[in-house]
Amino acid sequence: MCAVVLVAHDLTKRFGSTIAVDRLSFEVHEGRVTGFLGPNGSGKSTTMRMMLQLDRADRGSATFDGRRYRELRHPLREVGALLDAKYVHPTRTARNHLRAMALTNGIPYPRVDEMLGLVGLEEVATKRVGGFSLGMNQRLGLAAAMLGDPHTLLFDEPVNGLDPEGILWVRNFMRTLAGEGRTVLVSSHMLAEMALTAQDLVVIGRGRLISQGRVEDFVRDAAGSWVEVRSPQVAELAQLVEARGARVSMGEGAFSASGIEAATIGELAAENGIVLHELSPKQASLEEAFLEVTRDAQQYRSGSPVRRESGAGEPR
Amino acid sequence: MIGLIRAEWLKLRSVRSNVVLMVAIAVLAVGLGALLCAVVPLDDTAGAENDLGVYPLLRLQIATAGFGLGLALLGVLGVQVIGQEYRFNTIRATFAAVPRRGRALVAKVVVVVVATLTIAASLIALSLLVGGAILSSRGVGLDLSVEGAWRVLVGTWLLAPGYALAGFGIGMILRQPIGSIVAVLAWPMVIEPIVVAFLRSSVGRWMPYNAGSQVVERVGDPDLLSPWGGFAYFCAVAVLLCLVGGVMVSRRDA
Repeated sequence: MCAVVLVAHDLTKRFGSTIAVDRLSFEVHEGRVTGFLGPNGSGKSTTMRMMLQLDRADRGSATFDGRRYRELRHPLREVGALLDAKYVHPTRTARNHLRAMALTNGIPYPRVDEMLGLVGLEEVATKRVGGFSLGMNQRLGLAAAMLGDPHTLLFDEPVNGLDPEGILWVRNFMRTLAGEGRTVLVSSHMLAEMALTAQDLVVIGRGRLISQGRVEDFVRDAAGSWVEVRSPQVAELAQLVEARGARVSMGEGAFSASGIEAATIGELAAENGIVLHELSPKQASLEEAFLEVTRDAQQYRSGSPVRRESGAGEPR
Repeated sequence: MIGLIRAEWLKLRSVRSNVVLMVAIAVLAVGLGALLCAVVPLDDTAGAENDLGVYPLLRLQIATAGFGLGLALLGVLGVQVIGQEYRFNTIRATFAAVPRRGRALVAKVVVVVVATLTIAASLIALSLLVGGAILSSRGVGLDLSVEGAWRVLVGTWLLAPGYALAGFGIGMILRQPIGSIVAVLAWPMVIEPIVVAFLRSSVGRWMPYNAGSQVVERVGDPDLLSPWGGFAYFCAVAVLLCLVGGVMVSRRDA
């Protein structure tokens, strides 16, 4: 039901002595939006270009349903990509830009106008792209990606520079695509955006895989959750909580505990007749989780303490 | 492949600078030819060698001389077909749509060859009509039956795709338009004339553009390659540039 459609295996890219992407392996599932997350310069765009075989991988490969991009007979009908909305000639019209693409992949012309309508550019179809705003360029890029009605979509920083309205539009667009059963991989350096758009996450730093899994698992595993407790009998309660194997750090009339559920603390308090003033489960924000895992990607070269233990996202 | 060729043709004609360039070539070819036919003296006092009235073949050459300059601009057109793609990064869209790059490049070659042959045929014919009318009004007509007439006309025609393919090859090797355009203009118009002037029979005879132009010369030069031999050598150089450029474009990151 959640088939793996896109597999990156051992992707590696060097630019001179710099390793931009370092033995990167991950999987992208069908019918879900997968966020491809990493700080600027962590190798996301290079990875996507290698997937489309625009950049030559020094080792490894990416496959779509088991085939490399170059083996796809009509690639635009299977994989749609928006790598950079500026990859258009400024004096060409929007319609001609899409028509040329359509011709190369045996896509009928009516589909061009259909896509221009889908992204709301039908009125500027015969206008030169050079006069487009960033948002219009981005829409044209999405129309180009959707031109062949592909099952798999790659978007590189699609909301960069868009206004709030545009961001909302793109976000809904991606979710709709995934809802239709398509495979969507979307890169971003902005976590908050991914939390709203993606269901799965592939997190990289300095070209290496840091974590792969569901968004909520990532947040929980990376920065963890804890419980804030406030009580007049704080010392007594802290002892009971510690006796249950939780880690406790004391504060002024309060403590925070991790490794234990809030409900368990509440029950402990009730059993022992302890008054509670506050009992609140806390969770690190996505930003905190992200900063935590990418703080020094270097350290993960010698085994990562935050890598998920389930093994689902482990590089082979 | 038909779809790829149609796509490349659409890309060529949907860019404004290419249209401007083609119009410029047309104006230069017909306008300059007509101007020369109107002003070149019929009897040259310096000597009979350049006498339009005496040499009917010279009249043909004068009438098509404008297009001869247009050839250099066809080289620029060849550069643009690939150079613009790198300048605006549309090469990534092109190769994402056609990941087997050789097929996209072959489609470009077909478009370049067919377009330049068509442009050249039309402009040469138009130049002959206009130039011929002007010369007739001066009392000397154009005569296509003189010896060498068809060599000059067909040679001029076939040089067109040669210039364009050389430009295309250089564009693929340098992968940016400005340097490539400087190369396709400066090489035939500045560097080769100097080399040919000083090292005529040694290095000079192997200067490709100069060798190619032997096919449109009135009188052969024993120091240089023969008309069709020079033409074939020029075409071989153009094809070699395309092959080297094609391999480089296919291997490098887009």
